[in-house]
Amino acid sequence: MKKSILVILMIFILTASFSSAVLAEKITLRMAWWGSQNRHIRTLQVIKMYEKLHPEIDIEPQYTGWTGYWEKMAAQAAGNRLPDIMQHDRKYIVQYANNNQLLNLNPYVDSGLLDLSNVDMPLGVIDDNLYGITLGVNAVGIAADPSLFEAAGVEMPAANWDWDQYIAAGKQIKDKLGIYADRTMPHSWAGIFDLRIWLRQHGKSLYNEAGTALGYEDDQLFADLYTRMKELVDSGFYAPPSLMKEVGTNVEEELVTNQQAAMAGVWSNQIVAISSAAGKKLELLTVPEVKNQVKEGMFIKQGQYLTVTKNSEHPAEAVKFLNYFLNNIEANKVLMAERGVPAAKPVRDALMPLLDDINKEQFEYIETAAANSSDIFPPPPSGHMEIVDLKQRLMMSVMYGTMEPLAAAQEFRKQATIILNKNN
Amino acid sequence: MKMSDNKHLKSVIYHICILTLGLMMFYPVLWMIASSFKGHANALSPSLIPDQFLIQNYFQGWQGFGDLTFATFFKNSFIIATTATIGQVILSAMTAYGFGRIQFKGRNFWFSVMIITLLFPQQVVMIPQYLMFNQLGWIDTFKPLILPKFTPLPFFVFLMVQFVRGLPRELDEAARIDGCGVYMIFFKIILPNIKPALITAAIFSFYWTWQDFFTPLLYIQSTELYPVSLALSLFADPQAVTNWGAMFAMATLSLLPIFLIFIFFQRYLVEGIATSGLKG
Amino acid sequence: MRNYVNERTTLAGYIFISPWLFGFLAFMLVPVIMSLYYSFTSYNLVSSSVFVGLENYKEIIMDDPRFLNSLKVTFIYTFTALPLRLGFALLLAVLFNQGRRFVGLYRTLFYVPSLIGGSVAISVVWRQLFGYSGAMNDILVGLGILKAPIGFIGNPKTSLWTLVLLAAWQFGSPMLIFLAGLKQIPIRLYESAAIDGANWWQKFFRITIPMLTPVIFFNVVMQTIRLFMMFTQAYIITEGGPIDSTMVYVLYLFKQAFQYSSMGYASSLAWILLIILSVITLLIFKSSKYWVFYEAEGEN
Repeated sequence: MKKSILVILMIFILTASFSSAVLAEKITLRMAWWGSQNRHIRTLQVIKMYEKLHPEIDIEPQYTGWTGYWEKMAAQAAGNRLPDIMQHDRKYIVQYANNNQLLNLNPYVDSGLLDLSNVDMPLGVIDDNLYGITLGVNAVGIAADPSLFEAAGVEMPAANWDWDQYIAAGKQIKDKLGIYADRTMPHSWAGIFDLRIWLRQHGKSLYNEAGTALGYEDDQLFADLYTRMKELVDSGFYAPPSLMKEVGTNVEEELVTNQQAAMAGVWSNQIVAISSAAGKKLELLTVPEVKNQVKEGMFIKQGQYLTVTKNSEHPAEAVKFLNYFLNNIEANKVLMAERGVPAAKPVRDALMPLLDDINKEQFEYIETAAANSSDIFPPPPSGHMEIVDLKQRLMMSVMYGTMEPLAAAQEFRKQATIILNKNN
Repeated sequence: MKMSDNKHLKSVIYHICILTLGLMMFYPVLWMIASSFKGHANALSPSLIPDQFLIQNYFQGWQGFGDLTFATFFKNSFIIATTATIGQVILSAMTAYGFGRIQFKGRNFWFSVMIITLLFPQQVVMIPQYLMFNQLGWIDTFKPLILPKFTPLPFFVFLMVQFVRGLPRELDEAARIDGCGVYMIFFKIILPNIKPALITAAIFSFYWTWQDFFTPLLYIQSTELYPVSLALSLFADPQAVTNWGAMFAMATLSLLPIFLIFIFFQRYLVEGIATSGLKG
Repeated sequence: MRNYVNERTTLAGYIFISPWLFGFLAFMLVPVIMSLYYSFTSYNLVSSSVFVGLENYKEIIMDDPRFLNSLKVTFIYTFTALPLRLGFALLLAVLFNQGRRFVGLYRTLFYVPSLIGGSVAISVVWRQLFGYSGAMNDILVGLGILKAPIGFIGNPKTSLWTLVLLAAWQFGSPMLIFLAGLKQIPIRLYESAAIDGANWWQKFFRITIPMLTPVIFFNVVMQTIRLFMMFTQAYIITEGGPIDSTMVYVLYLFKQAFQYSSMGYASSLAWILLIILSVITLLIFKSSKYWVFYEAEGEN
């Protein structure tokens, strides 16, 4: 018995070592990203273009949808097998950087391999170390159907409208047209940006600077936000909670796409998908302000990053490819701002005349949003995902009427503190 | 005359009942097939009759992603599922015979151990397994998808043991008198007589492997090695418009092989039961 | 005669079970031991694990309301879906065990739901079916049972039941196994019962059910375990929500492991699951001697 196990093990080890011994000539870079068919085609084409320019480089793509991407990366990280180049999201970049898995790109900026001279948008910087280049910037916003606004006799709101105006406009739409104003409060779904924006407007933040505790003291703030939301749900301004859940994170199922609602909270780059699902051009509006607010609640967010991981054996080559992705105009003509508005100004200028109406809307909105934003909060601490889930549960309990808003606020503080203590 | 009328009526009722039930059961499947022909705007409507008959959903879907078509994904799935199934069924039968018929020291112990493994959630064995396979250099190959599946599944072994135990012992005794040893008995008596169990196991094994989503998700990195199940998931992305028509078209197509194999084996299943003499 | 054990049969026994034995040692035992170790650690998959003793277990049992909730959800799910699935399976197996026309075709068709029930496509279908504008609402509103459509998936009171229904819908595997079992019941038993003047129901309860008990037992064990470990559907259709109303145990475990990167905590959850399942299975096994009937053993 023992002998046969040994023999089989030997065979496995032999075949394993054999298969990794081939392919020494070319430099292979593995690159992973998530996305849709559209993104895959565009990215693969850019990879081909790059390989033509650099015949010594062979880029091996690993592309998937968002579902499962992070589970897969977690497994690869555990095996020290992360791809050389990895598309990243703000939610996860700190965790990966703190775990020492991402390459600090500062030295490559200094050596000129990575050219940031034309970049005027925020990049993936954590504690002064550059960990990723931004592929496109996004802003929080609301996609609105202008024809429904018109039908209800509501003027398209100005960029700095406030919550009162928002509620007045939505009520008029609801009463006149018998539809919902929105499916749910802007950005209250699958994230915690509703609360973040609200707290920022009141001069507070979700977490303290160090990310070790909550950044606000008054539970009433939390309670107020969801008390109002609950009232709006009950009055039919927002959709009932079960319908909120049904749409989930699927932009193309938003009620605005079939005129069941006049608005939907989106990221600016999603205007392309949601317009196409609606079959017409929707317009982007800013998230409403609080009267006499302490500071702007909105923010510009780096859409996705490309990072180089510590597992890379050819970091310099990987950085070169990043530079190409960031600055090359031909490459970006293929990518066509699919990941958001490009961070480099010359690239944006070159794309401008090529854009269709909907993409133009996105580019222009970024300008508007930038004027109505304050600096983005630091990337979230470890344990953040659990806290997002927590908020979601409590919010839904309030919407279903099984919990009072203030009780939910206190429970949120209690549980969030436990989670943050556990993780930090 | 009366009796046959009665019989006829009963038969009609029987078939009507079954078909009504069947229609209810089948609605989701029919809906999916119908949706694979619908235009984008109506793709999710509850209707069973497509608003238009768009074959191009199939062509579009088949185009796949980037420069990879579904031909690649189907080929991958076939390689993985066929190899895994053959290994799984043969080795499970061996194990079932060992546990079901042969008396040996430690049998009950190992059998209980096997049952206990059934209780352990796969989701957790996954990470230590991943670390192991990574050490062996198996990542991004079919090995982690196939070789662990060679381990007889307790489910199949248990099923086959039930069958083996159901076989009259006189068969063994008779064979032993004819001069067969334990090994010959396995091939001559056991295997032919548990054919229904073998085929059942083969069908299960094939479609479990075919539909497996999480194992390839973790182990396959290069898109050119993707099986169909994983490729299908590429259609859906919350950040963009899903091409529902193409997705349902490929989903329908992905079920076709399972369906065909099932029908094909189905014949053998009936035949196997009829000729095995187990009927009485 | 029957129970002779000697060196030769022992060797043969081990040779026959060696495929399983090898797979077990290589692909199960080693990872399982590793996971036992991790259950006593705090491990986020990337930095090295820190030994914390029984801390994880203490936290799970003492102050993790989501753990208790997931147990409750899983129990409700398992023990409502189990009788539904097996009931359907047995009913249809009996219907298809008749020498009528088309049974082969029917059997194949009714198996289809199980063939495809685990796929992503069916999950999408399910969402639509039970959605606001889905067929289920069309029918229920049309029949006047409901006044206005309900979002079945999005309502914490109904979402779990949509998953239970999906589980019941996949009755194909136990149905096939019941069928195989039914075919093995000797016809002579029915013939002699018919001579005694037994009607269909008497035959069903006096012959079919008792003869089928080993197969029922098998199905009960298998399906209990399978249902208890349900994961994919909850992951894809409801994502555990709303308000954790479909947060089944394994999904919670998976969330801890891969989404919150608490591999140590998740490993502890896995070991608690193992203990719970062992107890349930043990109870079913213990109960089996009161109701399961083996012909071969009975004759000896």
